[in-house]
Formats: sequence, structure tokens, C-alpha cells
Amino acid sequence: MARRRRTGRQLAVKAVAMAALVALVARVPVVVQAVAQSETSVGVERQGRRLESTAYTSSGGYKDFDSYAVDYTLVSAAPEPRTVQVNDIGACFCDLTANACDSNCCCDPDCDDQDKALFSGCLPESPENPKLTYCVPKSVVQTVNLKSSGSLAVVHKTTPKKDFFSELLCVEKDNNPAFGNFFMDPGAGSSDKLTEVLTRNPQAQYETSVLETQQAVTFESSYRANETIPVAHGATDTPKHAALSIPVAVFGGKCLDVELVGFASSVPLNAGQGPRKCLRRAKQLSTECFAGSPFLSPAHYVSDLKVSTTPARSAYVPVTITEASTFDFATGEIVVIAGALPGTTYNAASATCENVLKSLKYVVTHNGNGVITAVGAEVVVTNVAGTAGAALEQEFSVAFQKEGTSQPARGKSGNPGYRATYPVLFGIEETDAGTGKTAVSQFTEGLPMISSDARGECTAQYTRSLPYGSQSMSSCKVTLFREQLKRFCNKDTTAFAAPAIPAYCPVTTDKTDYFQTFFAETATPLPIKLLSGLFGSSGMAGTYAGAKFYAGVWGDSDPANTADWIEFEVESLDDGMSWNEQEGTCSKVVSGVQYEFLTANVGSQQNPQRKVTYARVKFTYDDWTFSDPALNACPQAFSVYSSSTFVEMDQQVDENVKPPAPPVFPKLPEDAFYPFLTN
Amino acid sequence: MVLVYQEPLRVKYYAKWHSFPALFRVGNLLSVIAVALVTTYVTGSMWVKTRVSYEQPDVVFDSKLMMVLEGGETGEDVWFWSTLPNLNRAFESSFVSTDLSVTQEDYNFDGKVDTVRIKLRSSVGAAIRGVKILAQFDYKLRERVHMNMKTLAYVAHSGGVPGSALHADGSLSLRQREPLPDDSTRREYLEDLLRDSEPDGMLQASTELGVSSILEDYFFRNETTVLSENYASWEAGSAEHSGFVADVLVRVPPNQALVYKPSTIEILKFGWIQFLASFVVFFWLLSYWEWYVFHYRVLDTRMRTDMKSKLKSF
Repeated sequence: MARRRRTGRQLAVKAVAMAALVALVARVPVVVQAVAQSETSVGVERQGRRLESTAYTSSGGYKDFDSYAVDYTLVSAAPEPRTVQVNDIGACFCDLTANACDSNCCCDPDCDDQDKALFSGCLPESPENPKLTYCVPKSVVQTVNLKSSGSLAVVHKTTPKKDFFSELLCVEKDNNPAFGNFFMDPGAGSSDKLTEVLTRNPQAQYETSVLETQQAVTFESSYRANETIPVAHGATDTPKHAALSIPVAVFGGKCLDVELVGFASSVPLNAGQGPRKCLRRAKQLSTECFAGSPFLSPAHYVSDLKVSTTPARSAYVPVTITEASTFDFATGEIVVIAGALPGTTYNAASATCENVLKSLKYVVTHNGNGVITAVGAEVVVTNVAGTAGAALEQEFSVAFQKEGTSQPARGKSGNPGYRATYPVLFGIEETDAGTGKTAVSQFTEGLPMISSDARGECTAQYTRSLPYGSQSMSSCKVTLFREQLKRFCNKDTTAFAAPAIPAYCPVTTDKTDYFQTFFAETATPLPIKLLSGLFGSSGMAGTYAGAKFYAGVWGDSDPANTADWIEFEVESLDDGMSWNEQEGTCSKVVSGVQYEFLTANVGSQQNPQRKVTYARVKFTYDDWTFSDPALNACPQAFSVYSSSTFVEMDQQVDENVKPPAPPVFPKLPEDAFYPFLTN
Repeated sequence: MVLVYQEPLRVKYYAKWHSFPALFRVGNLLSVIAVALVTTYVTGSMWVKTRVSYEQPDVVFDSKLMMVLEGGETGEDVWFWSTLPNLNRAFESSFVSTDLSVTQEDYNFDGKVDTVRIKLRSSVGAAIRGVKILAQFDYKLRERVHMNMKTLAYVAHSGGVPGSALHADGSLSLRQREPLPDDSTRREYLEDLLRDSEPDGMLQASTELGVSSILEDYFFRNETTVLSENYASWEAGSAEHSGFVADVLVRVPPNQALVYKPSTIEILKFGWIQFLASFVVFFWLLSYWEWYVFHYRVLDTRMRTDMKSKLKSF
């Protein structure tokens, strides 16, 4: 392989006497570097034209780009294309400045002798080509006695390096006739060629427009399943390219209107999902809270919205409020508003934004042929306190229903076997007074577990549903003063006024009054109260006390058929609290409930259907002790737990299936013929 | 004519038992065995000291979990929650009400849990900047080593910004400091790692309660598990209103590598394979050397051929 350089020394050393280890004689042909002397005329003026930073000036609002001046004495009357020597092109890549010498670029034709005298070395002139290793590398040669003619040289070497021996067999002469592989100059490209290459490499381009990915707009007279629903905002029916969407939290907690609602696909889609929750934050509540507030007022999602009956956008139906209620943050209670929904206003006196949207459920009615006939909205509003920043969690859902159906859609937790993490079906027995028939009044959220409000405290309003098959545990805090605990323990219902909480207290509470109203009734243990009477016997407080409690045997248990349900066994309760003044302990407080389920698999082993075969509720007991006498003036938090456990019944896998005939030959291990069974 | 059949004719060399040729033959054989043995040994790995077997462990959540939340206005507040009532009582001033759901799923119905999803929602009412979760599992291996132990999965994340949720996804991998003997039974680590109280009802030292000391003690063990390939996604937001959600998906690897010390017979089997491979080569070389020595009568032997003397007369 030949290496060609325009400048620089070329040194080829031929090892003549390989066995002579003491002295090494080498022939060193020296190519005298030809330095063009004729470039002395390159003047100071050219040297001075280095790349300058672009000066930014503007005229008439547009930017003037700085450009190089043209010297017309150098302009050719007949421009000619560049002639390219493919075996020579790109041999001086350090020359990157026209009309000036690049320092240390020895092959730069702009550099004269004067410039080169100042060089501290030579920069690489072209990338290293692949090359053969010749007899002796430069590093091995220690002394080269070059004659002035450069035709012969004697290399003195006293102790050759070890790697010298590895090069005893080496390339002494290269007579390869080829220079190597080169690209010919293809000339100018064309539009067709560019398009063709780009079509082959679509990944080479960025997509900066959504036009190509947008769905075709349909103007059909009926919706198809999961088709977007056009809506119009404002008082007029002017169609806008907007689709019905609900706010969701995607990357963080913040509400973004990105979840498009598809026709006939409810949100949440099934019982395994919850409603979409997201956080709405106001930077300045006092200014952001007004009647037409886009996010805080329900108007934006309800009264200002019209939904197109068909994709054609020819007719619109307004969104009407079917049910409006208020939500009390302190107690968690939801109360239905009798009259019209009050507007969102800021009450400066109490520094509260009143009637802020808390939860919204669209109920879209269609005629079964893909035409929307009505859109209802169930709105829950609440009051948010705060002067500056405030945040509120909003909740959105959409349900579709067909005209004329009497029963609302009911989410199943599996078909028929339960799916893991779907809610455990739960209900209470209900008897029709007229016919005397019994059915199950199924709770939409499933079996409730005691849960906590945003500050972790117990209230009867905050529960969560128990997911099937999960070992769950929930807890909430009951924060009590010592005296309050004592009265609670002794079932003393005399009024208790909450004392001021000293600043040093590690625990604070504003729920003393709430708990006190709870303790006014003494026959019902606390966990049953927190579950609104569930699993309580008749005579106890709470809406559901004394009812019959059912769990769905299957994930699709029919509430109309009580045989699809099994009754919870409620273990007997021992509510014998006693107070020990000296120890500050209330012993044997009913501190929690525990749900226990025995489950079984039915059907193919590859697709087993899970059912509940037995359900039991147990109560757990604890001693509540006021631990630190130094903190007797402070309230102390006690925990109420609810937990669940699911255990599988012991089952034979092949029950009721005839076993196969015993094998004639003894069974070999699976991998006995492993090499013959692969590939 | 074609060659339709051939048979070799043997030349037999006889010598007395006590003669040099007999000694030479036996010595050759012994030396080839020795050379083959030495070659096998010197080239390494003659005795296989460790081997790897793969199996899916039987992992079950042990109903013991501990969580520490860090944050608050100044970022210095700490909240604690666990499934251990005594610890919750001890740390009641920093107790945070939490809902926990652990769902274990077996997707391929082989009777072994494939994923454990741990979902926690804490009503902390403050900004959260960091979370540490320790969950205890019951871990069993059955095929090569009969092992039953309590292990931990540790998830820790702390975000520079207050977060509303942490989603973590990782697989529960076995770590071994030393290989285990084949077919052995390991029941050394059956003691709870997250202890509510000491087994005899005595109090446990507070120095052993911290996450760091639990982990330190744990990693001194020979066999441990870690939540490896853990991809955590921290969701910026406020936990003040909707609570802090930690959602940890623990995947059980279907092919967990276990390093074990093979039994003597297994070591000998692999040694024999290697010895035989080199012995065959040396024996083939020896056969040429012996042919040379006997064929050219370097040693004094009595020679007989299979050819009958009658044939010689032709």
C-alpha cells in the first residue's frame, strides 16, 4: 500500500542484518521536503483576515447578516467546476482558514517560510490510513546517522528491544499496484434522488407537525364506538374543533385536559379502575375564584358546554345538571342541593372560595344507534379556604347509558371469577315490602375498609374499597386528650370541651368535637361507627347496623339473586373497655376490623375462576395507653386498623377428572433427551 | 478388481514379565495417564468447584413492611408507618395513617408467585421529598438447595422536588457471598428481619430499629435478596391533598441463578470428561512411539505374526 503525502518526511527503514543484534544497519531513503518558496507574497493584509465574530445589526426590524467582501479581481469570468483527484483529495485537513496561515498546519499553502519558522510542530494532515507494519518502527531506531545525500544510513543500536524480535518477519517492500479504494465524485444530486433516499430512511427526519398523524375528520350521522365527541364551548353553537375531554393527571398531579372521551366507553372503563383524580392549583385564590373561572367553576365543564349529537356537528345538546351536591371537607359529608347550583364566588370575609368544582360525572345518553340524545352532569362542589395559593383534588368520570334502560350499568369484578385487585362485591340484604322478596343492595364501591382523611385522621366518610386477593391494611388516627380517652373508656357521655393545645405538643388535632359527637353514643364500638354501622348488630348506631351483610361469591354476582352471595359471619364482640387511671391505659379497646376470606379456584388450571367460599369479620382489640405523663396536656394519636386476608382453600388440581392410564414404560426425566429436542 | 474386504494382520511381541520391554510398556501407560492428569490439572478447571443452577424461587410477602417518609415544609420532618403494631405505637408521634394493599399474582399458574405489587397510600398532609420502604418476604428454593429464609426488598428514593407518588419496578434477585453445598438444607435465616419485638417479648435496642442498621445486619448474611434492576419514577406533585402513593412492583425472576458447590460425584464426572479428552490424545501419540520402539526392535522381544508359517513357504 502506498502512502502519499504532500509534505512531511517519509521514513522507511529496511532491516538488513536481522540477526545482528548489536548493530543495526538500515537504509533510509530521505525525501527532502519541497517547500514552496513562491508564496512569500502572501501579505500581512491576508494574514489579518481571520474569521471575525458576526456583528449583529438590524434594519427595519430584520436582521442584517454580516458577509465577506468580494474581491472582483479574483473572480473568474467563466467559472469552472472543481477537478477532483480522488487519490489526493483531503490530504491537508488542518488548513481550515482561507487566505491565512493556520498555525502548525505544515501543508497549508497559505503559510510561508516565515510562518513555518514559528511553528512548534506539525498538526496531523490527514486521517491515518490503514497501513502495514514495516520492518522496524521508528521507536526501535535509536540512532540514525543520515548522510547529507540521504541515500544510505547506518543505524547504531546497542541493545534491541524485545519487540524487535517479534518483527523479524516483516514487510520489507510494498509492491501493491493499487492505491486503495476511492469514491468517485458523483457530481450534483437531484430532487428525485433526495426524495428516494429520504423515503428509505424515514427515521432521519424529525416530525414537527401533527397534520400527518391526525385522524381524518368524519361527518357521519352516527358515532362509532370509541369515536371522539365534538363539543362547542360558549353561548353560540359555533362548532369548534374541540372534543369532549376530561382532566387527568399524567406526569404529575396537575390536571390537564388530555383524556379524550370515546363514544360508549365509560371512564373509568371497569370496576378495576377508579375515577380520574387530579390536582387543581390556584396561585391567587382571591383573583382566580369567580363565577366564570375556567377550572374552579363547574360552568366551564357544564353550562358553557354543548355536545354534538352526531359527528357531523349539525346539532348540539346542552349539558344539564341532573344532581348537584356539596362536599364538606371537614366532615367529608356530601349533601344534595335542592335548588339551582350556586355560582362560584370568593368570600373575602372567610377567605374562602365557595362552590368550587370538586367532582363531576357526565352521564351521556344515546339512542342505541350512535346518536347522543342527552348529557347530564352530576356535580359536587365544595368550599376551599385560602388567600394565596390553594389546591384542590378534582375527580372526573363519564358514564354512557342507552335510552330506555331502567338499570344503570353495574361494574363487575370479573366474569365470573374475581380478578385480582378488583373490588370485592359487597351489599346488604334488602326486602321489598310489597312482594316480600329479598335482594342484595350492592354497594358501588365494594366492601369498604376504614381509611383516613387527608391528614390521616379517622372519619366515617373516608373509606376505601377492598381489592380482591390483596393482603390489605388500612389505618387512621383517633387523636384524643387524656381526659377524653378516659371518658371514652368509661363510656362517660358528659360534654368535653377541648383544651388549648400547647405549642410543644408533637401531635395536634382539630377533630376533638367530631370524635366527641361519635362518643356520645356508647353502645357501638369505634370501628363499626367508622364503617357507618356495617357489621354492627341491631341497636347499634350507624345507617347499616343490624342488616345482613353479603359478599359476592363470584365477580359478577347478581344482586337480584341472593344465592350468588354469601353472608358474612360476624364474630361476637367483646366491648368491655376498662380504664386504669394510674397507668393511663384504656384496656381492650375495639381497635379494628379484620376481613378474612376463604377462596377457591374453579375450572381449567390454565384459566381458573376465583370465587369466595367463606367470609368472616373479626374485631381486633388493643390497649390504648397515654404513654408520656409529661405530655398529659397534649392529645395523643391512637390507631384504628382494618385489614384483610385471602387464603386459598386446599384443592386437588385434577378433581373430578379421570386420571390417564399408567404408562407402560417408566417415565423418563423431562430432559433425558434434551440435546435431541432442541431446535 | 476392487477391495471388498480387509483385515489387519497383527504382529505380536513377547517378553518376560520381569524384562525391560514389559516394564517399558507398563511405564509408558502409567506415564501417559500421569501426563494426561497433569495436563488436565494444569490447564485449570479440572475440579469444578462451583456450578450454577436456575430455578424460580417461591416468594411470598411476609405481611411485614416498614415505610419512612421524609419531607414537610423544611424537608426535615419524618413520618413512619409499618405493619408492626408495637413499632407503630413506639413512633406514634410520627405515625402516618396508611392504606396498604399487597397483591401477589401467579400469571402462569405454576403455583409460584410471579409478581408482588405493594401499593401504599399515606395520608401525610404534607409535602414529601423522600421515601424508604422495607418489605419482608418468605423466600424458598427447592431444587439444588433446600432453602427457606426471610429476605428483604428495599426501595429508597428521594426527589429533589416534592412528590405525590413513587412508582418502582424491580426484580427480587438473590445475592450470595459464598456458594452453597449441593443438596444442602439452609434454614439459618428464618428469623424476622423487621421485628415488632424480640421473640422472647423483651424490648429490642433502638439502635437496631433504623433502616441503616437493619440493612447493615442483613447484608452480613451469606444469602440476601435485593430489588435489582429497579426503575423508579418519581411523580412531582403535592402529597398534601391526595396523599403520597408508593407503588412498588416486585418481580420474581423465573430463572434465578443459584451458585452451588457440586457434589463429589458431579465433580468427578466433569474431571473424568476432561481427563479422558487429554488421555485419548496422549495415548494416540504413545501408540506411535511404541510402534517405533517395537517395530524397529529397539527393545529385545520375541516377535510372532498372525501369518501362518505355511504362507511363508510361498
